[in-house]
Amino acid sequence: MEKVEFEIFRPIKKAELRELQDLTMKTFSKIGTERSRQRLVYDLLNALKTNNRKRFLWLILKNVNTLKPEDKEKSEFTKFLNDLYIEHETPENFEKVAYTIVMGIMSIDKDERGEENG
Amino acid sequence: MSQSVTRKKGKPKPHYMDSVYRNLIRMREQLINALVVDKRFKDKLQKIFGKRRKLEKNESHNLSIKDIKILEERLDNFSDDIEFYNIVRKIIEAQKELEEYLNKVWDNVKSKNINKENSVFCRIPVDSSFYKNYLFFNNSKGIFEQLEDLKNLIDGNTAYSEYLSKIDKTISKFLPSDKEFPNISYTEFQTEQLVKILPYLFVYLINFLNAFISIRKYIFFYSNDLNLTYRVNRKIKIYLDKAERNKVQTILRVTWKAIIDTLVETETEWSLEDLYLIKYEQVSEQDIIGVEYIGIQKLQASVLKDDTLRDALNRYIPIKASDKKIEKQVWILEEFIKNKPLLPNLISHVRIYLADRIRRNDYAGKSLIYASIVDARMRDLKKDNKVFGEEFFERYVELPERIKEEASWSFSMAKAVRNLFEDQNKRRSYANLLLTTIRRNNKYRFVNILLKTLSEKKERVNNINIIGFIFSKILSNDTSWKNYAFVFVVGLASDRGEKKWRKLSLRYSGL
Repeated sequence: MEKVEFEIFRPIKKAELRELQDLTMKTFSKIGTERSRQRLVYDLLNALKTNNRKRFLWLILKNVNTLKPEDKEKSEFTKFLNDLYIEHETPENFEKVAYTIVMGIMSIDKDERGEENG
Repeated sequence: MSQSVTRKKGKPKPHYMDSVYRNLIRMREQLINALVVDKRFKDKLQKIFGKRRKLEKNESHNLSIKDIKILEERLDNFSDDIEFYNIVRKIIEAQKELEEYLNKVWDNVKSKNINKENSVFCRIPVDSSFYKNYLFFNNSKGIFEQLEDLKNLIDGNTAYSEYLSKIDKTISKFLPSDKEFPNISYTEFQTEQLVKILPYLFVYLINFLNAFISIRKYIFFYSNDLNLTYRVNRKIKIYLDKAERNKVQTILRVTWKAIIDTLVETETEWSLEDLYLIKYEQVSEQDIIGVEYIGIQKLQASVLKDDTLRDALNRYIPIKASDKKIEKQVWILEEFIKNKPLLPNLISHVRIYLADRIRRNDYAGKSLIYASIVDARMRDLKKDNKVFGEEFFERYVELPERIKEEASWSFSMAKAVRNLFEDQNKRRSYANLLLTTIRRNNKYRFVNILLKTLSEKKERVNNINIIGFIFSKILSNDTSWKNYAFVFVVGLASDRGEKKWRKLSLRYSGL
């Protein structure tokens, strides 16, 4: 029988990750306080350390859900994340996506700081 | 001097049958033997030639023509001993008589008034295991044929003989023989046109083997610049003599060192990709064995052309040590030229430094960051898998600049991560922790540890910069993430003061 190779899960592109990071920054800058975000980062990193993917997603979605329905970032972020998961469903890609989100949240401080300084 | 005449076995060569020549030689030899054997003259001879000089050998004297000349020069000093004086004077006269006779014979030879047998006897005594049948090396050729051959070879007269009309294995054993490659359209390789450009082509070719430096194997450095070729080869020879005494350096290491040092010294405008190292093991009957050509790849050459990068890589780093004694070290530049991955050695170096097994001065610091970035770029280029890509034809012109830009970014990162900790001991244990994850190839663990530390620290602007670096160079980079992660470890491991890192990151960021 002829061997047919399917390339179902392509590696994730750097540009996609960059977009996700920007979107995360936009979305999470509207969620909680600096202190609560720091706590969230801590929880997310712990979930990743123990490879607890369910908890990671639960934490993310729980926080995004606190946004009001009229905030367009809420649907935008969720849709983008959903697309990424469908297209890149591998553990390797999961970690890449997950850490990009964490870094996005951690990078928010820059904007706030910038505003304070400005 | 006299052995050919006095030998008892075998038939003498025809020329030795000349009775005048034989008589003159016999007379001189008898006189010298009488002088050397006589115990009365022993002191005087020792005074002239030194006490250690052996005057007798195999029941005959052991003096050469040069010694007779010495006797002649010092004869006046011994005029008080009339007997000694007279014997020596007779020897000198006998020698002169012999010389006069031989000059007469040579005059005859010059006027071509000799037969074939004598012409062969008078041939220039050149022999070569390589060029056995080539022109004047051929043993059956007489002196005049030899001279004619030699003249035509020097003049590059390609019409003179078939030997000079083409180049193949007959003249250089590094070339194939026509018969072995009959289907190659350019064999026979005609020399007529070539000689017009290079008049002394055959002189160079025939002397080619003399250029090789003998050190168990034979090596020769080649470039298209004659001056550079000469300088490097001379340096290799000097270095090899030193290396023989130290017995620590490999031939290849010595050779590359000579090349790099010469290039630095002469500041030549050079294109490294045209440098080759030719090596062979031994010469057998008309053939050479174990020939290797080692060239510098274009990719490596482009990096080596840059002064900053070359200086940074031109360093030995210990990779094995105990109790501050170095057991094994590598020369980064050599590994790089050999196209070997650098990171494993860099990691070993930092590991033994963190374990306090080498002295602080042996820690390579800034060279490690450069080497790591160079290695990363090499990995990335290899990953593309396009040998003759665009970069190749442009000779990787932009590569050194790109490497330096990334190195500059890395220096500021090394400094930033260093600033996260006040205490040197904490820095070192953190460096160990990160190094372990690199060695275990665990990218996400590395990112996790670093992000957790950053989230606990207050220095936000600093953190944001580090996060940017982690994102672009580590998280989204599957090929060379370890090289960039290693930068953090180098920064943390360094004992050097704050000022040093600030200076480096400023200098390399072009500020």
